[in-house]
Amino acid sequence: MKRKFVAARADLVEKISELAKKSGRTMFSILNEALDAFIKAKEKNKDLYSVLEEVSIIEIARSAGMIFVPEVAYDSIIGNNNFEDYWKNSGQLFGKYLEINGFKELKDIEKAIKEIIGEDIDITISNNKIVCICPRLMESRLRDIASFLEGVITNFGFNVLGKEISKGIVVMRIKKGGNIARENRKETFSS
Amino acid sequence: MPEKIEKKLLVVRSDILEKLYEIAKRENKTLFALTNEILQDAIKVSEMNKTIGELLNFHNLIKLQKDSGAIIVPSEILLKALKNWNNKEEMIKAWRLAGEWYGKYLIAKLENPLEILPSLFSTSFWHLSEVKMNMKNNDKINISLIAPNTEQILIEITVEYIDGIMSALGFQNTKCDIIRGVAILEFSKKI
Repeated sequence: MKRKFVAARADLVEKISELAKKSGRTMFSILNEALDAFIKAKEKNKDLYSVLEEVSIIEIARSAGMIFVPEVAYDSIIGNNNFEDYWKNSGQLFGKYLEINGFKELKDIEKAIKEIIGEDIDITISNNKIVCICPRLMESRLRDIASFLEGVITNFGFNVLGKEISKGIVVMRIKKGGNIARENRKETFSS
Repeated sequence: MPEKIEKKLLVVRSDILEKLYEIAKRENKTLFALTNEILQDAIKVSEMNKTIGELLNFHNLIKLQKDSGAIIVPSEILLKALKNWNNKEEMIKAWRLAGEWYGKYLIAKLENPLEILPSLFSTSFWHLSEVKMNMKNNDKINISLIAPNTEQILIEITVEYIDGIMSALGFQNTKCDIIRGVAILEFSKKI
């Protein structure tokens, strides 16, 4: 196996050296693993930072008590049950976990929600509106998602002024601040 | 005058370095800058108690799950729905069918699905604290699920789901012991 030299910042090299000592591995193996993983991620049009971000969001969902289920099995057992309140509570809890983990900007919250709800669902969050589009979803599932979104956004101090759900589209009008959001948060966490 | 950055040389595999050099050229970056970025990411990942290789592997497995149509839902809602369901046989059948479909999906997507199964189970069954899989000559497989804090019904549907997957992969269930919080399964290759 041919080897070559590459230059890097001395402080970073020192940190990698510490990591190698702690894990009982050689610097050569840690470095090659990192560079190789970076190349593989690039081949999939990903960068390590976005992979790291996505994995962090998944770990947050896991901590917030969420689990993976096959959609088809979930749909078959959910039947006509109405779980909108539970979805809202769960959204608030997920929002709380996001907040604890430093998520504050709407674009970051939007990204986290997409990661959890599904990449095929188009969600846009702005200061006064949330739009969620997914024509393939049944209305009941869309209602659950809307409740989850409501829970998340309420946690970040927004009030939901109105919610329209029809044929694969959710439009929610929101407004930052006020007492309603705070009361909603209190109510949900005490229930 | 800009502050002088202290540099150090690192030894890497030459094939990896060549690929890295190409990426740097494509992205209009110096090799030095790109190497520093990767090292910084590697250090961030290590703070999550993972290596970059483990991180990418986890990310790929999660992607495989999502691409197969799995969704992330609050476990509380799933449990409520399972408890409300009055036809247990039908519910068990739904999970088994979902497992069978997933097994076929794995055959279609991967060259050797059995190889990836242990890490796939550990990555996707968040409600279990431990999943162990032992293969004996590729003919016999033992799977143990440990989840002392998980409701029995969740373990039961997970067992059915795994049963479905194994059946699609050409194995039949020869033993199934489910005791509180633990499930021990044995599978033999179908003749």
